[in-house]
Amino acid sequence: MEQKFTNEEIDLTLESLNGVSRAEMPPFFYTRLQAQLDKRVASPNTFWMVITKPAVSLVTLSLLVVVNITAISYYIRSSKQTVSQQSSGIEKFAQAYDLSASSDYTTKTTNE
Amino acid sequence: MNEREFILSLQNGDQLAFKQLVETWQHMVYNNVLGIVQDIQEAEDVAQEVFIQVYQSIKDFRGDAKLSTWLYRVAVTKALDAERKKKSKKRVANLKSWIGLGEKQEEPVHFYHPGVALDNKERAAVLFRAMQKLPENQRIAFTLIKAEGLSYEETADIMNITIKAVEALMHRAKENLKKHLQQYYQL
Repeated sequence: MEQKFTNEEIDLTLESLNGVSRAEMPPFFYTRLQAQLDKRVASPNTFWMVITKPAVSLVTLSLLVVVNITAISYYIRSSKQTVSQQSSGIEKFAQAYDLSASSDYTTKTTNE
Repeated sequence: MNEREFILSLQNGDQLAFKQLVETWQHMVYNNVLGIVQDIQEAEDVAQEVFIQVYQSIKDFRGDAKLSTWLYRVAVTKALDAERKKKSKKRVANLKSWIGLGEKQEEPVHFYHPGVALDNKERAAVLFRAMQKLPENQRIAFTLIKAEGLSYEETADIMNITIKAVEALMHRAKENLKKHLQQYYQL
């Protein structure tokens, strides 16, 4: 019984917009619109007008990508150099103190 | 003056032609926007934005579609933009209230469409509330057909889809609305 009532109510609700008449714009809309347009013409928001242009956005994005790629490649190159400098420093140290690395296995084989 | 000549006058910056455009289409734009934003004051603000957009971009209008179809498209786009802004503001306000920086936003009151007959006002208000929960495409199709009284063909032109697709959207919209209404009436 309750379910039947609910279904009927749902159907009536879905049909409640049948025959709806068009809502009318309040009077003197054109006057208010004209005032708004005049205000926009008098002080156009040039910053946003420029920044939202697709060409400007595309160029900005490309520049950002280029700067990022350059920064990353520079970082990778400089970190490689640091590693090689560090390893050459260790080698020099080892040569100076005659600390050339040799395992027990290589020592044994040379003795034999 | 036929539509082509009228559009040319608009493109040449004829103020009288623009006034005529506004006077002719203001109610259609307002009703369409009102069906989506469901707020009398906001609908007028959005309608202003629609005509400002039309004024600024009429030069780019190539006449591929009818002027009315183009106006409907601009109106739907602007109304949906306003809805998205409203939703994101609400999300920010809720987040602020969650972290204790502001008050929680209250649920909007029922929207009573001025064109609905008195004996249907309450049910229509419930329906409008349920329409807010529909996905955008279903909501546009349902609003254009039910609140604006357009045909499936006109709706298909505005939404730039086939009539079959509009039929499918309407079918899904009705199914979804039934589910929402079932929940509402069984509470």
